[in-house]
Amino acid sequence: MTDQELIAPDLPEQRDPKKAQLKPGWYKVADSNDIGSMEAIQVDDFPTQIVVWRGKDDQLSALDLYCRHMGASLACGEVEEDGIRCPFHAWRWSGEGSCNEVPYAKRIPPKAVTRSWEVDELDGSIYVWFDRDGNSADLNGERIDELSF
Amino acid sequence: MNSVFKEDVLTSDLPDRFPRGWFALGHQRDFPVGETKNIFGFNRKIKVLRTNDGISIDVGDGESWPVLERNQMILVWHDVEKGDPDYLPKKIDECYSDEWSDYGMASFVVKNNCRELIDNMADKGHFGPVHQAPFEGFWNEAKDHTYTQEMTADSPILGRDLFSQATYEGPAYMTTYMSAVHDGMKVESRLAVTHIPLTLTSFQINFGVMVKKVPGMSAEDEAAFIQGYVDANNYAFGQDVAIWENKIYIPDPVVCDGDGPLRKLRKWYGQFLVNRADIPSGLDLKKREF
Ligand code: FES
Ligand SMILES: [Fe+2]
Repeated sequence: MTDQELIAPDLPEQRDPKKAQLKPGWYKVADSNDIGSMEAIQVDDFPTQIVVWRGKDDQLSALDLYCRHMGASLACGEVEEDGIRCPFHAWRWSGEGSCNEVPYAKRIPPKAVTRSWEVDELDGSIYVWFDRDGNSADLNGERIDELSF
Repeated sequence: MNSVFKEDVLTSDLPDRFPRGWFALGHQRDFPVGETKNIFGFNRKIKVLRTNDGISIDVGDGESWPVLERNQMILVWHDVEKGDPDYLPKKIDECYSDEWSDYGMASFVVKNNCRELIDNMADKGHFGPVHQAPFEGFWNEAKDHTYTQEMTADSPILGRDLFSQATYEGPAYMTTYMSAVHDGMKVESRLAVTHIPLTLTSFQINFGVMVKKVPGMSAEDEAAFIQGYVDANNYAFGQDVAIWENKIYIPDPVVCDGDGPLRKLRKWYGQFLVNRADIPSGLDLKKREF
């Protein structure tokens, strides 16, 4: 790293997925064995950065990477049941993108929702559905194994 | 993409400047007479020269910034408007007392904008998950250029029966009084948590720890004791840094009842990021428990 990279790094932002000029389809984000049981990974090679995890019953889920509370990376959190708990204030997010527990608050703010992504596992690969227009996933949709940005 | 989620703006523009205020360059003893030291800060080289007549600063372009030696630290006044200092950090008696040690210092660089550090003052909810130190009581107060946090907690790292009172004077100079019980013994300590921005996306924390001397303790034991406190604080900062370096800035966070006055704090901090004429009113916050 150069000095300039050390002292003036670019800071992360949650990329706007709408800016990705990609056709609708299932995009491969990992091999099945990249995500163990109750484990989470960060995926950057996707229209936006996401966290993908395997929860209870090996159920796969995916959300925008950065927590909608105060921006921490959910990939640094802990998988718990079928959700993921943020490392910063321990809010727990469901795979559907809603916060279902705040340890220190009785009432969960209705606005505590994030973007969720549909995940599918097929022949040893993990795919996440992307459609710029927001149409829901089509299990017969095209599988795209190579993504080049 | 699900439908509950409302698209909203997630862009987090960086501030257009470094804040106005006093910034500590380091401990007095690290600036001996007759020596010039080069420091990088505010995206420029800063030359600090100490002579028998005092300290002077050369930031290039023929500019000179006000300097202050106080509470064992060397401070500079940074102000894009180039105005005179609006306040002076208060003198802390312990910094001039034989009953207390000097500051033991440590520093490290964080890759993010320095505003990240400030959130900690109101961020009641992070103490449990990040520092394994669930607090018992938590108070905030804002008055003019100062912001104060008081806390009582029970921490395996920083001490049992912890009481701490931390005050920012301006955007970058924070001092803390702390008392805690270690191995059945009451320990009083003082922290100075200061930082200088290197660029808009990195800053260096310089922090100091001093303890009230324990009668009869040898100089050696005392040094080890202070080092232990420096290490404990370094460890606690490391927990924050792991978060700070892997996050985005959410300008308008969704907060809930237990979150502390985060928005209020950020508004208070905002006064140092605008010209004096643009400072809004109503930034004070009466002391209250959260
Ligand atoms: S940032 Fe995720 S819970 Fe606060
Ligand atoms: Fe912290």
